[in-house]
Amino acid sequence: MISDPRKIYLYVFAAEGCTSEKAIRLSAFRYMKNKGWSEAKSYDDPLFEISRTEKGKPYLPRLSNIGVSVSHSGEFLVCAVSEDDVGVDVQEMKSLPGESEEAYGARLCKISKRFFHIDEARLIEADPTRRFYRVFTAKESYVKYTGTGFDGTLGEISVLPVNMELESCHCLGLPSKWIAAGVCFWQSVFERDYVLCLCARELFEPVIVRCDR
Amino acid sequence: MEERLFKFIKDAVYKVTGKKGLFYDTDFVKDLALSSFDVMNIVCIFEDHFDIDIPSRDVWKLHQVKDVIDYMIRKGITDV
Repeated sequence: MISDPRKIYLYVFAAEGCTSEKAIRLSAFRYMKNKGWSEAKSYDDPLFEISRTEKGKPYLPRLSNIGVSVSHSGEFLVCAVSEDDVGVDVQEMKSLPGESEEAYGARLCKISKRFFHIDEARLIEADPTRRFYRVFTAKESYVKYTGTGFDGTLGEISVLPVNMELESCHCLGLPSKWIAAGVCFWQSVFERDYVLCLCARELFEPVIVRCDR
Repeated sequence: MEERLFKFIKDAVYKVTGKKGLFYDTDFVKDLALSSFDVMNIVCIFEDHFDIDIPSRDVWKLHQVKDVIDYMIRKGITDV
């Protein structure tokens, strides 16, 4: 089967009983099978051995032609596989136990002012409990795509769309696909309470494969 | 002082993540699987409580519980 090389495959697993390593191996196995590139019988074939860079970015040393990224939140573990570098993040939107709606919003505003770019913090301030996660997952997917990890420069980079006026962002929120920081983002609400975000070099529509059912 | 800081760290981690079982050499990522969001929440708890600033470049270097304790003592924290 020949697939569009621009397609990113996003594999969704139930977090219980699944580790990041297993999810990456399973995803790469299925991806390679789908592409017709591998005759490996199982995901624990040495072909799918995982290594990590100094900053923790996973890669498959025996499969240099594909990029992988993994994320876990709440009940889900997701893994993105592509023929290029890719970053993925999933985040459950929920308050802390016993936290009031007001305190919840205040906490998210505080975090964004503390760690994010000033434009991002301003956008979040208008509707923190929804917008925070959209910005956060974009930033997280970005640092996973670049492999730089979170460091002291997180607040220097904005993931807000470069082709939208900030006022539009304030009125409309973030679009589902946009370009920022020299890369492309795709984002969606997932299973009602989660935000899912992908970051890659080119705009794309991912193929979502549910492995949790 | 170290014990009081240790308890504060345990309480902060539990409040944010619901996770227990910390030791002085517990690694926040490798042992507790804390996410970057968890870390941000915990940092804000610290900064609010102690009225201090923890530069972002320092945050991501504090890998274990004892690193945080040593850091806070070097910061001049004398009371919890």
